[in-house]
Amino acid sequence: MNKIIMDNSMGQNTAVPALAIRDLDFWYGENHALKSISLDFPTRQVTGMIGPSGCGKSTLLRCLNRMYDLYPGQRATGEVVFDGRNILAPGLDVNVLRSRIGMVFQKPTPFPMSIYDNIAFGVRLHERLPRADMDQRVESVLRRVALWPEVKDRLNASAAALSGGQQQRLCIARTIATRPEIILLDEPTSALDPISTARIEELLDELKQEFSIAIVTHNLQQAARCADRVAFFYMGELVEVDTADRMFTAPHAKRTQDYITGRFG
Amino acid sequence: MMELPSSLAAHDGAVSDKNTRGQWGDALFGMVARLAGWSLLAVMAGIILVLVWGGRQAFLAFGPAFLTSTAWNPISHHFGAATSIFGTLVTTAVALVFAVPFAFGVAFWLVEMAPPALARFIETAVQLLAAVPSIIFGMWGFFIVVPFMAHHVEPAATHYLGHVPGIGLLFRGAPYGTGLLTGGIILAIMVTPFICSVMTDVFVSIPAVLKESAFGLGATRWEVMRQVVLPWSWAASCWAPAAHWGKPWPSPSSSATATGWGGCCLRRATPLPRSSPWNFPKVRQAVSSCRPCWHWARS
Amino acid sequence: MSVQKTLPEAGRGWQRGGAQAMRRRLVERLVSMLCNIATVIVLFVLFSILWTLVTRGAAGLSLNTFLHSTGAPGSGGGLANAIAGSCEQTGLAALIGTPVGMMTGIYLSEFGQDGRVVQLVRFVSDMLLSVPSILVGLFIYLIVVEPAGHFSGMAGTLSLAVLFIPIVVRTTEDMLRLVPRAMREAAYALGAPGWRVILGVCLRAARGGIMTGILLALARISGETAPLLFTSLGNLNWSTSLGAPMASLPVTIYQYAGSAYDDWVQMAWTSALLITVAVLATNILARWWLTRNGSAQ
Repeated sequence: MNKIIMDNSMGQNTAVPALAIRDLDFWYGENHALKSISLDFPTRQVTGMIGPSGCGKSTLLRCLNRMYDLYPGQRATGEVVFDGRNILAPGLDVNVLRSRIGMVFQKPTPFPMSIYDNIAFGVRLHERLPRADMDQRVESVLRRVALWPEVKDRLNASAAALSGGQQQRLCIARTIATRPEIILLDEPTSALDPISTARIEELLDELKQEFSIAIVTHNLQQAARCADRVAFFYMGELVEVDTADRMFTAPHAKRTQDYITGRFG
Repeated sequence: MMELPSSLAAHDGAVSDKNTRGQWGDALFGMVARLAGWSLLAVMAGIILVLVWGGRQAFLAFGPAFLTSTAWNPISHHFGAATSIFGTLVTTAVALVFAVPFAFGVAFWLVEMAPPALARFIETAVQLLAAVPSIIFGMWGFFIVVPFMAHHVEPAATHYLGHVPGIGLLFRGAPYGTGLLTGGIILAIMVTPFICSVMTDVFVSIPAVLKESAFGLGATRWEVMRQVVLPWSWAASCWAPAAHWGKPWPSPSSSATATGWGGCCLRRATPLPRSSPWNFPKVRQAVSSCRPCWHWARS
Repeated sequence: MSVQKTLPEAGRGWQRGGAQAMRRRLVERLVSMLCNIATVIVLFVLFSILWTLVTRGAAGLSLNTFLHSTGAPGSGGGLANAIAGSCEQTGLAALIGTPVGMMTGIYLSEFGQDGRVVQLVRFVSDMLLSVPSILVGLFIYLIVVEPAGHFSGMAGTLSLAVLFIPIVVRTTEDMLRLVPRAMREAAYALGAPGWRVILGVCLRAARGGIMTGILLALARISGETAPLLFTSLGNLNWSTSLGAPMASLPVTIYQYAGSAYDDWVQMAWTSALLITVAVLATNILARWWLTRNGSAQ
């Protein structure tokens, strides 16, 4: 019924995908929010997810690290295979899962502690590091997100004092500090100004050398700029997935055409 | 105050100039509002005067030793506040030692673990219980806890722990069940619902996305609570009074007032002496001068 | 399910954390368990209080309770005087306290131009909220009872009003602050003078919340004992005169609970039940009111 047009000949890694979704359905109580989704996230690529508000793209993201577990009445069926296991299965240690699949949110969410501790927080959960190693880890991730020069003299200052763009980069640093394999980004730049947005996009380009990235965005230009592959969602269904180039130049589905030409959404 | 608009409106016909009427109305309204506000200042000033005056009398009569003297002799009119002060401090400390962990446990359970339907029911119940007047808890304590302590706890406790310095103090004397420990426990039961509902309120008002980020890094519920929610709550509650000048604190009145404004939780804990010698004027002064200490100790 | 079979070998990444992960799981379990235990204990104690109150209180409840005044031990009196006294003092305190409290709340939220004075009043009002109630009783004792030379219902009413006001002030102010600025501006744009905007628009928008505050304040003062001991003292006979000592339920509990007579103790339990029922009913009413009228919509 859901005819998914998927072109596997182009842009698809021949290797095992980092994450494979098979027949995923999701409910908010009675509301059927995701309908039989199947999608691969190739290793070390950026997969963009676009679609009008409420189409289920953020919901899908929250399935991938079981964030929906926090809320009663939300449930998912189907399979999400990551590193040889179905992460939707009961009995899985969600804390380990979340340490391996990091997430960055729409609004920057610095914890009420110092910049240093914000980054050390996640690391301490999973590793016991001597002070020197921790210092080194903090410095290296801050360098990777290009925040080090700006904060190196005030690592013990509260993270709340940073600007919005700096906070968001701090959140990304915090996420990569736990050494995840996949990073989920939920509209990470929608609360930021254009300059901060540009820096984050550059950062994504750099990060995909090491991580597999899934990014939800409502900004089509951003999807075109950053993503290797783009998936279009509509009303809880996956309509089309393709390389970014082909998606924005020659989409197959009518609904995709309408959306990217701005006829709705 | 609601009759104000109608009484002014009665003059509508007489005053032709709308502008003047508005100005008169505003002036009168401002006067009434200021009067009401300033009357509170007068009341507070009165209360402070009463404290100072009463305290001065006691200090004049008994000297500075009043604070350290343990005498309490109505016949020779010798009084000291040390016993009361000490008793108050110890009872309060005992109460908090018991109440805070329990209240925290319940609040943590309510916000993170309870099934939603049950959580709503129990949260409401706890908030309602926080509004029950303290005298009810006091009475229950007097009839239930005191005999229980006298028959079961204190004999054993005195036997095993009575000689431990510090702790033994809590149930010194004959096992009538009315020691400091009992007082503290009753107080703890009194304040637990209040502390718990305030905690629940604060824990719930943390932005969901902050908690999600912590969970997103793989933290467990306890780790999120200890390392994110508690520091945040701490900051929020310190910040709340200051922020009150600017904007309303998240969930300012609805649930905080629903807890019955036990006010500051300890106010409900103001213990009343059982045999009240209020009619001795000097005693009254003595007691009234204890109050500032009690008040400062709290603030 | 067919996919299940095609799963490759689970990777080593799942063993991440090792012993540390194990310890964390253990701590999490332990904390959950402690929380569950704490909840069970607290709920057990609280409900046992209610249970004791209902069983012991209901035993002495009869029509007589409402028709006869308190009497000597063994004479089988009721609580009519205490109930009437409580209602009268609480009701009058609310009548005095509501306008003063609301006007002060308006002053705090709308007269910001008074600057430091407003801040001082707000500070004092918050302080009054947490002043021990016994102190308020003492204050009224010194300014009303001592000059008059005798305890009186009026003094009791005043002390309750002093406790009532700050609660109303706080709710009124909070609720007025929640009124959207646009609504105010719309009213001003029609050329309404300030007092009309405040009374006619803002107060109306905030009335659900303010009403809730008033009900909660009522519930709160109806259980106060300490200030009444210094002011209205209590009265064994029927009296509704504000100039004379007046009975009230909390004071009755205080005086009877410690007595040696079984029927007086019974009366104290019945009073306790009546107060609790009244307080809980008022609270539930206030909640219902808040959910029905919302806050400042």
